[in-house]
Amino acid sequence: MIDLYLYTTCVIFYLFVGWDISKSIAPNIQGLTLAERLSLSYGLGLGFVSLGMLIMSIFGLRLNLINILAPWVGYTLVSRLYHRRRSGRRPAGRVLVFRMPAGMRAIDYFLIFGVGVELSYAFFRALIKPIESYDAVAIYAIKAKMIYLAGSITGYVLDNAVRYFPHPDYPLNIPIAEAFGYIFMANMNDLLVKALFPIFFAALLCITYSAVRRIGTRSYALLFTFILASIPQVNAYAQNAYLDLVLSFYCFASAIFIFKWMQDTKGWGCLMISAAMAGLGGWTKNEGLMYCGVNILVICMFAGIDRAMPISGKIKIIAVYIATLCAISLPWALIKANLGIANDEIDMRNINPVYLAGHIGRIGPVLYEFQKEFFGPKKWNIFWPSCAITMAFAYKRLFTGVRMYIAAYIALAIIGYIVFYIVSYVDVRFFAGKTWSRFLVHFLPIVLYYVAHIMKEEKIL
Amino acid sequence: MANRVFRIIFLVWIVLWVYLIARELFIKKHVREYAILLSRDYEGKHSFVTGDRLYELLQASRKSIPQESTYRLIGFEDGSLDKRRAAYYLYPRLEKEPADYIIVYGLPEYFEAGYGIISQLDEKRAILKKED
Repeated sequence: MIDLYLYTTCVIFYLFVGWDISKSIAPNIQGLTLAERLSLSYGLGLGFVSLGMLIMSIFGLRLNLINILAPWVGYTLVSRLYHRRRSGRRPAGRVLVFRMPAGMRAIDYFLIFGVGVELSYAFFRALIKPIESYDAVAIYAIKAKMIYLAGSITGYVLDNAVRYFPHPDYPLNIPIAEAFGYIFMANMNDLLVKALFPIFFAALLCITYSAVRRIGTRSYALLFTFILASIPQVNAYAQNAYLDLVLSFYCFASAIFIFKWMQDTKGWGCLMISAAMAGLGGWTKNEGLMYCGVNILVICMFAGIDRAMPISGKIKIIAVYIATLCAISLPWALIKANLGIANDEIDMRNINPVYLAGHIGRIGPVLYEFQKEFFGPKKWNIFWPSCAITMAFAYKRLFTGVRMYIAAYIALAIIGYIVFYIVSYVDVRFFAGKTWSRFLVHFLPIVLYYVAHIMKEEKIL
Repeated sequence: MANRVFRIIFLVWIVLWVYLIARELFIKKHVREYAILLSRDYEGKHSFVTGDRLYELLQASRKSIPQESTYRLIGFEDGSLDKRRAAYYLYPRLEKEPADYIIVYGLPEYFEAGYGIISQLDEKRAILKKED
């Protein structure tokens, strides 16, 4: 029970840190709901605390609770004082009142019930079993244990990770977050730290609801949130301690804030949130680096087409975005370069037209595995066929306005995965069979958002 | 038209949603697994997911093998989940040659020159130590 209180405190700590980071990098951002702000805060807080731990370790500081908490407590105090001084004192007696919104329909109650069932089930499944699935144990939990026991990340821990355990090049965001949970509880409770995964699931649902709510009614937003929550594969990855849904959260949040930036504000706030989220995606899984590239390409595409923005402004935006991504990726990239570790499944030197053209036949097994997923209701319900039907009905609206960029985002992500399959060392049939169902989770929320966008004129709810 | 199509898709979705939950709970018998897990404490949960026999051997190994020692696993399929779990539970002991200890799982009466049995859980599970 003490562990539960301590871990809850740990999550609240993430929220505080993330809240202040979001206020610092995006002080003037408008139109965010409380749930959306909290969801972003969770992802930002967890990601930056673990990145901070890595940097501390590079400078030889021991990872104990005081060393980890002190800089962040100092940061939140300074940040709060600064923002309070800038915005002035709030009127006294202002309170937040929580009440059920008026005008709820029966369908709304049903959809909320459905989301509640899925969310509760994800928490239940996460917290009833210790970490036990293959990658979760072999790649992530072992590193978390090594970090916790050594009180450090660099040196002995990474040396052991490289010599004795698989995939030492995988980013350490979540293993460090798990280790931080152990440090916070002063106990290696690998049952309770699994709570971080369903919390990411809840955060993803909140971001989805808020994003769709901006373009449609409450019922419409609840419908798409329910659809996302009730996809069996999504729920499975919300509790098995794999990192695919965590990456999905970071990628989706980063993409949504690019689209929001394109549609209304064009200010720095949305762009900085997007860059931070994309950078943390790259700090979570190697595939996240591909999404950083996709984000940059989509922003470049928008900058190229948009005539209202001056060229100097376009260059500044792209430069700041890339600089933010580099700043977040740099510590881990330096460590990898120093240790001489690289991905053992993909050779980046093979990403060239000659190699790709010579191995184009590998697309066959990739597409075969994709169609198996596409028509597989056990993992996806009827999500993919429904998307195809919807797109066929609304084909005239597929590329209008911001939808063109969302479509480009999805297309680039799919092309990216296909390229990685082609250049992989691993037998493509085996690799695609093992991984497609996970990779689809990464960009599924963006496909869902795209469908919500093209269907919004139909007034189905 | 769009409304009608949406209603059909939504109806099929709900039917499948209910079916898939029921399938997971009752046909794949996860309800039974949850009932067992609920009845067990923290160690018991680890034992259940790892397999009671393997977990008992790993617990015995943790007690018998000092933290700075090395070991070799015998009877584990290379790259298997059991082998990964063993590495996880036994860390900071490392699977490394020359091994100070040998952990035998699933092989009856295993013998290796230069090693002597220090713990025998049953005929297929044993811990051997390098003789001085």
